[in-house]
Amino acid sequence: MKKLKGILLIDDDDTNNFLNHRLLTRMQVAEKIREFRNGKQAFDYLYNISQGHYDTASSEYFKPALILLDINMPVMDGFEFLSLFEKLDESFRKDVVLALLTTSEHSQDTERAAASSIAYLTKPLTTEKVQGLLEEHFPEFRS
Amino acid sequence: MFLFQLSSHTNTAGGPAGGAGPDGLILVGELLVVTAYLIVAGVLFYLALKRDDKERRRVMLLFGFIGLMGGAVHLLNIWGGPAAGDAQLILRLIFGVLALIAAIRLFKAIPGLLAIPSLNQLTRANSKLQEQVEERKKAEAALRETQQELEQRVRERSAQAITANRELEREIENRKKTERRLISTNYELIKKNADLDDFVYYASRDLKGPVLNVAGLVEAIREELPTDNPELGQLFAHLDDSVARINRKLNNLAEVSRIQKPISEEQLGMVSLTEVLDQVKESLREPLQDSGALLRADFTAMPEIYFSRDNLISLLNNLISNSIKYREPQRPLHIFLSSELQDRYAVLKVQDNGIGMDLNRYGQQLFSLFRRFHDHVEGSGIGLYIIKRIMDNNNGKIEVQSVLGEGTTFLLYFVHHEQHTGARV
Repeated sequence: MKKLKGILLIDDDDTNNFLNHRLLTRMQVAEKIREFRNGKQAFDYLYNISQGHYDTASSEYFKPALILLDINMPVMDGFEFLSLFEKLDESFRKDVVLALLTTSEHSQDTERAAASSIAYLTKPLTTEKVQGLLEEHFPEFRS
Repeated sequence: MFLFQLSSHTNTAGGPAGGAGPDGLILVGELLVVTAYLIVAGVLFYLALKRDDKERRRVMLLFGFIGLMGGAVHLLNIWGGPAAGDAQLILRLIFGVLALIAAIRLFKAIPGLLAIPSLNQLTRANSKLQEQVEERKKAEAALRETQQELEQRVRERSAQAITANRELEREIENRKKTERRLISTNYELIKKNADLDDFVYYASRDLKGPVLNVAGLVEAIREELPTDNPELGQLFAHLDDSVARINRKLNNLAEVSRIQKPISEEQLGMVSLTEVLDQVKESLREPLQDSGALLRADFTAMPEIYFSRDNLISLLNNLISNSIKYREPQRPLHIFLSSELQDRYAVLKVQDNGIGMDLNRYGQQLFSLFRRFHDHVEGSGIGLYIIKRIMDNNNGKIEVQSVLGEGTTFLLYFVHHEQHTGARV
């Protein structure tokens, strides 16, 4: 089975990160998974990678193929992260899939997600939801 | 003049006086008479000069003139004596005529003189006048008294008016204060309501994450534990049930907070009742199948309603769920939906043959949040509340008819809009 190069989990809820990390590990869909507690930490990390400011030998640094992003977070929330992310190089962004993962079913949030044409998943993350996301955005996972 | 008369008298006295003794006496008598006449005439002229009223002056002058004429005649007696010539006679005649003319003139003055009041009359008139003056004074005093009384009354009235005015001002001030208090209370209430809405929204949103985590952790633990322990299985079943219930409650709260947000114009449009019902039937497929409900609909009289699609779905979803929940287990469930135009309302009717309810007992609280009247089925107590809020928010209304043991009919009244134009009728 194919595996994604890496997945970033951006959520201020450690337990949720832990559960999602566990689920993804068990599904064996990614080589590497990294967690961030808010948009700012994640963006700084991605910015350094896009600029090549990282130790290529370190397994800590990798360019993710998929980012699962919570909306409500302290310091920098999901939508702020999105607007910054869109300022990164097109060449860097083009093979990164972003998906909002949130408890919010608030129309305000779903509409914003629809406007920025990114995937929108409601918690809890399940095997089915991950499978659906991968099949939709990654041809190699289509059966 | 007197000296001249004397001298003239002495001059002329020689003749007659020289005649006989009694002649001398006559002469003296004449002289005295002339003197008296002249004095009287002088006094009268003097008086005429001093008087300022025309009538009397005239009378005085006439009397004076007559006196003067009399004096002149007597003087002629002294001067000429019996031996005097014709000239003297003519003079006497002239004087006499003049005196007569004056006397006749005097007649003419009689009415004027009579008109002049006597002292008595004057005194009487005066006293009368004084009386009148007294009376006037009394009347004036009475008038003054009345005036003072009036002024006093006016002052009292003014004082009363001022007092009343002050009371009125105080009253107005009090009312203003009350009004201000009401406005601020109202403002506080609006703020509290908004706070409550916010609270419900944030509570439902922020509690959801941890609850989902618990559910996820329960699942993870289940996966880690051996599956052959029946006691653990029972514990997990209860845990799952509890977590599911918390989750449901939070979803309900989230729905309540969602419908409290005002609807924007873009969300409104002509919505097909058949389409909405199909969507609701799809989302309720399982409970509809499980309950064996027979659902019929006739929207031919009113196929579309101008409304928010999401809200209409929520309305039908809640009403049909209620019919399923409160069905009579002894007979198959029939749900009948229909629509019609009534005056300015588009009316949507949802009728069932369920257990019904006692409206006399529960009618008042039927649409209250979290009120529940049955415990034999799972319910949140928000369905009817949500329906009521949606109808209220859109200037509509809801009516319910129910007979215990026979069934319930809900009537939703939507403000009617002309088809497609969206214009309010």
